Amino acid sequence: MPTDPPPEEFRLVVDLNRCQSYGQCVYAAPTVFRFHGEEALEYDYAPDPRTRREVERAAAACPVQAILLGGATEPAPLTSEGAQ
Amino acid sequence: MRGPERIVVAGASLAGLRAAEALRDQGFDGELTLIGDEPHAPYDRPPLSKAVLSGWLSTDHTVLPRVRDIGARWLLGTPATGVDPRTRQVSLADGRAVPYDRLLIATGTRSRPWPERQGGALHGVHVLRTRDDADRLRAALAAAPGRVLVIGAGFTGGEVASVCRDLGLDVTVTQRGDTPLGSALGGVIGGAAARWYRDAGVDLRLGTTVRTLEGDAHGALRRAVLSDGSVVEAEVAVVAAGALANTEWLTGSGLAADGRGVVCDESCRALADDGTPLGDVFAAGDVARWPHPLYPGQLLRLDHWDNAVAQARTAAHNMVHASRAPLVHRPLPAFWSNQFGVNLKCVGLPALADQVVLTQGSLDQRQFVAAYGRQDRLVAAVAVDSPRVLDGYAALIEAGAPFPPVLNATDGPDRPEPLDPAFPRPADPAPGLPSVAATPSVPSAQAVLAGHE
Ligand SMILES: Cc1cc2nc3c(=O)[nH]c(=O)nc-3n(C[C@H](O)[C@H](O)[C@H](O)COP(=O)(O)OP(=O)(O)OC[C@H]3O[C@@H](n4cnc5c(N)ncnc54)[C@H](O)[C@@H]3O)c2cc1C
Ligand code: SF4
Repeated sequence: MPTDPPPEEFRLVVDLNRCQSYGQCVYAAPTVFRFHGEEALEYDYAPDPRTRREVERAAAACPVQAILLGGATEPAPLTSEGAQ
Repeated sequence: MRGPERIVVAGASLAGLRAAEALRDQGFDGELTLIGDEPHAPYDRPPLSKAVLSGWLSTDHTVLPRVRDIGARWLLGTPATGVDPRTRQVSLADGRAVPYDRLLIATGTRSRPWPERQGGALHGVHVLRTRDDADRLRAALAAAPGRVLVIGAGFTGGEVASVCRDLGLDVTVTQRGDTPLGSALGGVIGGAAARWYRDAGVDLRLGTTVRTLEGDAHGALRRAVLSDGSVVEAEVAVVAAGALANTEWLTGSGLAADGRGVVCDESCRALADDGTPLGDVFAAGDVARWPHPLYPGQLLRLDHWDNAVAQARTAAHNMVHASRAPLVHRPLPAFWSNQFGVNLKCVGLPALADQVVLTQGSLDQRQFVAAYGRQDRLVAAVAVDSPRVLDGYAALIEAGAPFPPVLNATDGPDRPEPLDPAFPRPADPAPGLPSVAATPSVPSAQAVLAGHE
């Protein structure tokens, strides 16, 4: 069951239709983004919280603004209410 | 007129989450409830057949970011089982009823299962749609099976086969049509894809279906008998043969819904089965079928990430501001797939085309662009390992540019030679699985389905 992430955790998603595989994000945060083959970007949606500054830099550096960071402050949804 | 006070979103995945966020962006400050049958917070599906299956990403690392606070009540692990549009209530499997002023249907699709009487219940037979499916399939692949059988060479089938080869596993892929990706991209580009399969060492069986899956005394999959009578020994099978819309819960509601989807109008309002739009029920994402203004005369369902996000936003806007100038959902279709080491991106609707032409690169190289035309207009483009060119094609398609397109690409052929794109025809004998989602899409067809399967 998912639990509430501690507040410092963060999430991201990349719009891979918009992404043009420039690779700036891979330079900025190499443990979070990588290429599989020449042009296929892969990334971690829930990276180590300590990479946050790197990922923010990656998002700022992305020439097509394809990287979206989570902005919610409320806790992640739980299954408990539904399971009553 | 007062706005809605209670909004219910059924289906808590990509479309449901993005719609909920957009409702708040649109100023909706009433009660918001999200209902989801999966016991997980919204996560992203595209990596399931790629980085998750390869073992690079665990499924708890696919959770989608929530872009803003939404102050919603989340009912997860709770299927919706019915809706009554007269009393405006959604009923849940646990007996509760949730009232609404506006309802969004975002229950998506599921993989078409393998029929039980043909071995579908055997241990080792998988589909790939959810986090839980991906965890099960990943564990099965990590156990190093002697051979994996993939049924269907659409996008998901290709991605799974490609990961299996990366993992060093032997793979057989059966495909009813003459090429992989045939119904989505046609046989010309599909022919290039067949080479990717074979170069990667996949045992690709074209024009072939699976007759039956057979197990041992313990109910574990052992082999498949194919339509040509040959036998493939395999401990794991992945059924990637189309998708069915999750609409059973709407049975008896009076909405126009079936296994192909929920019919809605171009402003995302669901239709009653007499064809009149309801003002308070909307649909978005993989479950929705609608008359796209760019493609008149048919109902379109786009099982793609991009569409789920865009349609969720349009629906949310119209749920809050419906009576004033509703927004029309008329996106240029777009999707991507990564398989066999290549990145494939597409804009427009190739399935409508009567011509295709290579505009950059060459089919034997794994880097090319193909443009699709219909009645001398550009309608779609596919870019293989060329992700930076597609915006230009998208603009030309939107502008109704002539086909073949006039480009000044340095790596283009001297004289473009348009070909028949070789889409399978509905009249073609199609042995094996009955299929809705894999139905070849032709201009005259009543329904066009462009899906990731
Ligand atoms: C393996 C895989 C790979 C993909 N790869 C790509 C890709 O590379 N590129 C691309 O463009 N697209 C891809 N897609 C497609 C993309 O993921 C979908 O278009 C997207 O998930 C659609 O979002 P949705 O919210 O409309 O539907 P879904 O994501 O299907 O969500 C619907 C949700 O509703 C729930 N639900 C169903 N019935 C009920 C009920 N009665 N009550 C409550 N909840 C219910 C479902 O369990 C699910 O959680 C892929 C899909 C899969 C499965
Ligand atoms: S920087 Fe942006 S465009 Fe480049 S690879 Fe990363 S996400 Fe894609």
